Parts: sequence; structure tokens; C-alpha cells
Amino acid sequence: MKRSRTVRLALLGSASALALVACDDATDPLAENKNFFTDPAQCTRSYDSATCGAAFQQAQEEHRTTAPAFGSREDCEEKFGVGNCGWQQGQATPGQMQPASQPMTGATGATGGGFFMPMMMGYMLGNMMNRGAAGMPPTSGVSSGRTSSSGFTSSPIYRDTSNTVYSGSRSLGTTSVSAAPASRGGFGSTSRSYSSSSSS
Amino acid sequence: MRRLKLDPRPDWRRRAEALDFSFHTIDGKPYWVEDAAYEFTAAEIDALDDATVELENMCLALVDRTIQAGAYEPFHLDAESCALIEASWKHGHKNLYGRFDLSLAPGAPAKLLEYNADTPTALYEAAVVQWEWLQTAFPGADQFNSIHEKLIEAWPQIAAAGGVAHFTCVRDHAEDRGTVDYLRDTAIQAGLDARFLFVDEIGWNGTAFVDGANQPIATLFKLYPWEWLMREEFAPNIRKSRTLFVEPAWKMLLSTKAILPLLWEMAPNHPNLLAASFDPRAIDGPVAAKPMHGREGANVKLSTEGAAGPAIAAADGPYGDEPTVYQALAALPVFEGNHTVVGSWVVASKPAGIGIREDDGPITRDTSRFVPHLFR
Repeated sequence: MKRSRTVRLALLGSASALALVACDDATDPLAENKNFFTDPAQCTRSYDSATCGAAFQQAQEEHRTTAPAFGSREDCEEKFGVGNCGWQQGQATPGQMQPASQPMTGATGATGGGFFMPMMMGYMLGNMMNRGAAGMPPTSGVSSGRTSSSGFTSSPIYRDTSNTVYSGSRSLGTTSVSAAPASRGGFGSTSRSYSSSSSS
Repeated sequence: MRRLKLDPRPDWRRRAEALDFSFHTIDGKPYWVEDAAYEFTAAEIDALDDATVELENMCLALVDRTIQAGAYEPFHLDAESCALIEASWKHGHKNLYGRFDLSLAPGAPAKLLEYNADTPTALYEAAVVQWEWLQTAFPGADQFNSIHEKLIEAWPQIAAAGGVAHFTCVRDHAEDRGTVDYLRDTAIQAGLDARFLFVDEIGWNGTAFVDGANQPIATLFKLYPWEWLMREEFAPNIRKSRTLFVEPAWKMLLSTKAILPLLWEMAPNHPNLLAASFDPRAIDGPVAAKPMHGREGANVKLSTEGAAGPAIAAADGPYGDEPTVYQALAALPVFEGNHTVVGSWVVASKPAGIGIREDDGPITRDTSRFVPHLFR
């Protein structure tokens, strides 16, 4: 017999269920993590755009109220790196404000209408992400499985200069995944110029 | 070999759609057809299998001797490509698949028309769609097609189960996307975490190619030709990266019509080869002029009485400026006005099955129809 005995399909031929996977216990919390995305466009590779957009918004809102807040850009950048901090309008929650390393001197200091915080590098979808690893103390200010109507949770992710990644005030471990913007689009130009099939 | 006239299964469209075979019709014209099928004898299938083994062995021998001798000149490849070819061969980078296009005239051995060694398609049709067709249309018959099982078995040689592999193709091309999704399916069944990204989404972070989440790409299956990658902005990064490419770079020595004169030179008068040359004056009589890196029959010109003689047929296309290879024209067998080509698949360099395509004219294009086959 010269034909395949069985032919089954895993991906094609059936509607794929929206299966959200818990963060696994691997030491690197981001490498090979299928549910970490830098932005909603990237997320729509795996999930629908409504879910991706809502999750992104939810992560941003949570980040605003749980990530560490600083009175000056220098204090923030000392921990998170130059260029990685943003200005946030409004009041930080009491638990967010970090002690100032020196008295504020002027131009780059907070003007009282807001604060500085590390920028969100992405977000992670999941179910069990926020229950914390065994042995870790419960933290306040971290979403403990706040679920959207679609049944997912969304956790904002940011990192510091030692490659440790965090969500809210909780550390997730160190990662090798680069947050440095990669240059993109360096392949693919020939196909656009031919606008014909790559195949043969 | 004979062509049977059949009634298509009444629910064939529903069945195709259930398989996610979306390109059964292209631009309104039928591509997958069930109103016919080719029937082979067992002896013909054995002969095709043997011919495929011969051709693959000759091609691998050609790659080896080319690299040992550094004899890259006939291939018109740049130095960077040659460096990648050498490194990938010396490091034993594994090939996954390829498709020989053969002319099987009655009473004659199969003749190599060309080798689609880098980006062959018509894969899903051959591996799955025609297999599913056989189960219902001719349940008692056999088919030369174990492509699906062989693909699943081949992946562990390329990437270990449990690991991540990325799959890429261009945007806005349903057929390419369908082929890549099918290969992803087989990789998933082999235990790989198979992820998709478009070619233009591939990033470079200074030390590694990365995907949209900036995660390093360890293994990259690309439905995208090597000679296109090598002209693009990221080409110099390939040798700096650790990404394993499928197909590997050494396939550049086979995904070119340049192999036709070189194989003929290596094995003149071999029963599965047609006379071929880089010199237009070397082939008398009917001849096919083919651009070295043409695809889907583009820019192929058929003439009688040598390359300068009157044209029988010509196809237009974007490859007019390429160096040309001249091959003795073996007329395709014609069945009720259909010119037929046998596509013979190798997976991990072993014969895996065939897919038949037919066209109204003597030059096979990308809209040629795919027709299922059986043998008893």
C-alpha cells in the first residue's frame, strides 16, 4: 500500500477553540510564552481583535494604578533605564509612590499633576497568572484574576534594567526576551515588487 | 497511465471547505477537479518511485561535488549565498521536501523537467485532498501518496518535539498561506509549537531574528525563495544568526534550472534526464528555453528546430532578464487536450507520493488543474 494509513488534521479543518493557557512555571516568564504580546496587532495573530483590544486596555488601566510611581524622571530611569519611563497624569495610589532618591530640583521633577512610571512593554493573557507562584506573599494592588466578560485576565508587563519583568508590583523573574525594538521589514520586499507567487 | 472521466462527488465543495481547502477554485476557474482522475498501473508507480530515488540521489551528488569543488559559477549566485550554502551543507542542515516535475510519455521512462527544491506548492492537494477523495470515490484502490505521514515523521529530524518553530510566507496569497498552515499542522502533530508570522514581520535585534513579540526564531520554515531573501536588507544577518532555515541554504544549488545541464553533464543519456545546455546552439530540434529562476512556467519559450527556431508556445512573466537554460523538449503526454505533468514529492529525500497537474497548453502554469489519481 503506497498511501498514508491515516490522515488527521490538528490545525486545519476545524474551528480552533480559544484556548487560553496558564503561564507555565518556566524560569523565563516570557520566552516561548504564547500569550505574551507587545501590542494588540501582535495579539490578533492568536486571538480575535475584540479580545486583544479589550485586554490591552485592561492591562493599561491596571498598569497605571499598580506599577511603581516616581516623583522624578531620573528616579524612575535609574531603575528602569533611560527612555523607558513615561509621564502619567493624575494621582498615584498610595502604594505606588516610591521614595525619592533626592529632593526634586526642578525641570524634570514632577509638577504635582502626575508622576513618572515605567512604560508597559506588553501584556499577558491568562487565567491563572495572577494567583502567584507558590511561596510568594500575596501582594496588594495586583489584580487577582479580574476577569473580563470574555473570561480572560490580562496582566501588564514591564521590565527593569536587570531584565527582571514585573506585573504590578510583583516580580515574575528574569527574561532573555529583548524589549529593545527590533528593526523589522528587512525581508519581503521582492515579493511586493513581483506581486506574484513565491511558489513553484 | 490513462485518464478516467468521472462525475464529481455531489458534495465535493462542502468536503473541500471542511478541509479548509479554500483555493479549490482560483479567480473563478476550477483548480481542483473531480470530473477526471488518472489511473496508473502498479508497475508505472514502481517506476516513478525508482526514478524519484535516482533523481534525488543525483541531485544530492551534484550538491556535494559542487561544494567540494567550489564550482559555483554556473549558478550565478553571490558570494554570500555561496558561504551560506557551504555552511548549511557542512553542518548537515536537513531538507524537508521538494517536488520533481516529470514528463511521463507513454512507453518512455519519466523525464525530469525541473526540480522545485525550495518552495514547492500543490502540497495540500497532493497530501490530503486527493487522499480524502480516494477514500470516498475509490475506496478499494491505492494511491501513491504517503506524504502526510512522512512529513510528520520528518519534523523531529529538524526540530525537537516540544520546541518552537516559526512558519512564514507573504501576505495576501491564499494558496501560500494554505500551504504553510498545512505544514504547521504536520509540525504540530510532530509535537512542535508551530507559530506563524508574515515575512515582513521578521525582525532583527542585533544578534537574532525575532518574531513580533521579539522572541528569537530558532527554526524558520519559509515559503519564500532563497534568491529573494538574499537580495533583501536582512540578507547579511543570516550568517550572523543561529536560525535554522527550512529549506536549508544548500537547496539554492537545486532550486534552479542550472541543474539541468549540470546533471546531463554528470550523467549523460541517463534515462530520466533530457539533454540540456547553457548554450542555445547545443540542442537541435524541439527545445524549451527556461529562465534559471523562473516559477510557474513564466517566461518559458518552446521552439522547434533549436532555440532560434519558430516558437510553438511562450509564456510571459517577470524573469526575462535571467540567464537561460536550454532543454530538449519532451512533449507532455496529452489526454483529451490536457497536457499532463507528474509532480513527484520527496520528503526527507525519500519518495513520498505524486500529484498530477494538467493544462490546456504545453506550458504548465500556476492555474493548471490538479487532478487526483489512483492505481490498483
